Amino acid sequence: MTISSDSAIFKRIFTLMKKYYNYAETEKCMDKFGFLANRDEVTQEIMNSLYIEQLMSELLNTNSIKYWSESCQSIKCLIRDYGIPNAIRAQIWLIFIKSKIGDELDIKNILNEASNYKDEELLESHSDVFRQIDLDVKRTVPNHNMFASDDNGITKLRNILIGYCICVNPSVGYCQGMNFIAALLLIVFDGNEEHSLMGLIAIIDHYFPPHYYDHHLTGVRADQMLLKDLITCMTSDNKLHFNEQMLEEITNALSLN
Amino acid sequence: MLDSSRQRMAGGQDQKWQKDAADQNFDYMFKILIIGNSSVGKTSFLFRYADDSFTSAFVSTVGIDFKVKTVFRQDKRVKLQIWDTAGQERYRTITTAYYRGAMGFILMYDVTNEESFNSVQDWVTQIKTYSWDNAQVILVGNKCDMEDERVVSFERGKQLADQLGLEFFETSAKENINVKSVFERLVDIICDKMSESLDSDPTLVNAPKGTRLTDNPMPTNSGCQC
Repeated sequence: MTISSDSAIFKRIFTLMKKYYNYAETEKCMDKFGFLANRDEVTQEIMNSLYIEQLMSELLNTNSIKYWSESCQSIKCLIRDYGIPNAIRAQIWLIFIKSKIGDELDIKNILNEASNYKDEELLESHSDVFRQIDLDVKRTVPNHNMFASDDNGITKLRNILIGYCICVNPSVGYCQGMNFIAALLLIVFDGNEEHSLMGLIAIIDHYFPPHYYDHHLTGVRADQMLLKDLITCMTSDNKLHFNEQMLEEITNALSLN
Repeated sequence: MLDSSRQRMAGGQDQKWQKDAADQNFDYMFKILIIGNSSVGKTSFLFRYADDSFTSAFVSTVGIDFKVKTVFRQDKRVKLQIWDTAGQERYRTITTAYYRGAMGFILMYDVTNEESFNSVQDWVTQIKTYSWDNAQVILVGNKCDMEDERVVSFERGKQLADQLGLEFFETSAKENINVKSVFERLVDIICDKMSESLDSDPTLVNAPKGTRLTDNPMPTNSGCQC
């Protein structure tokens, strides 16, 4: 991957680079973890991530998914190597989420319903879902600020899960694992409930294969089999020989954790 | 943030895997499962035993996870491969697949949670359905440090265990009460059952190898036909 030689962009990147990383040519060169490093590699890495950031902010202004998929092969390569820059991750995710779920669902209303569940009959018929969600929200990411104490992060997490599992997709209901996805979305979206619920719907109902979290865990188990096959392929010419049952057990555990 | 959390998780798995694969120094390998309703303390119990640690900040187990610990019992090095399972009913399709080949079960309920106690019979049925006949089971009433919130008495636990023909312990992963004893007792009764089987059917000595990660020669036969 080479950096665009477009001089205007290049200049702006260089300015940003100096600003963010306080990178002076005469100083010792360190990577982002503080290790002494090869100057060229570090420069390349910083340039690449700034380049992504730059291009993405420009793309965000155009706000067009079509533009993304058709003309951004070079960005795709960069993202696969360096990830989406943290500063704009939420914006990027939201564009994709919105493109998946459209605007048929009244997210605000769903969250409102979820936070005011009083209907005894519903509470009764979904008692298992409520019980499991209430058990899990307290033990999802207890080592993160937002969810550490009885803070509103936990309440938000609960609303999102109830919103999805009871209001949006009651046939799937709640499955352990959704709690981690919802919490991660809340972290990325800086506590924004609406965006996080939209993200959860997009991931489970649109990005995942169908029936991922259904009552037979159809999609989860398909994933496990795929992982096992991949590992079998990758280790077939290797000196490692796996006992078949053990391999299955370990890959199944890995795919879920 | 995403990368680092992924790395942390992957790192943990790698370590376990390497340790498991590298440590060939044992006489027997026993596969043990911890089962029971959601939130009774299965993960805490395992961490207390394997790492001697406790935190109230454990996360819910998705699907299944495992730890390995080697113990000395009756002059033998016994490697325990201990599987920690998700309690949610939906994951039973996945967890019951692990019952096959398990030599011991720790069936856990929470003494402060009546429902988890009422589910014990259900779990016993699961074991009978999916595991081999000689699997040994210990019934464990966890969280016995929470006396104020207790709703299941020691006597009721003991009585149920007697009815079901299981050994019984009350434990606390938090206060480290009886955790080690449960595992030691389980290893002992598995060993007893094993020598019983060997006595009655000597061909078992040449039985297929037990659950193992690699095809390297075994130090000693696992002696258990699963």
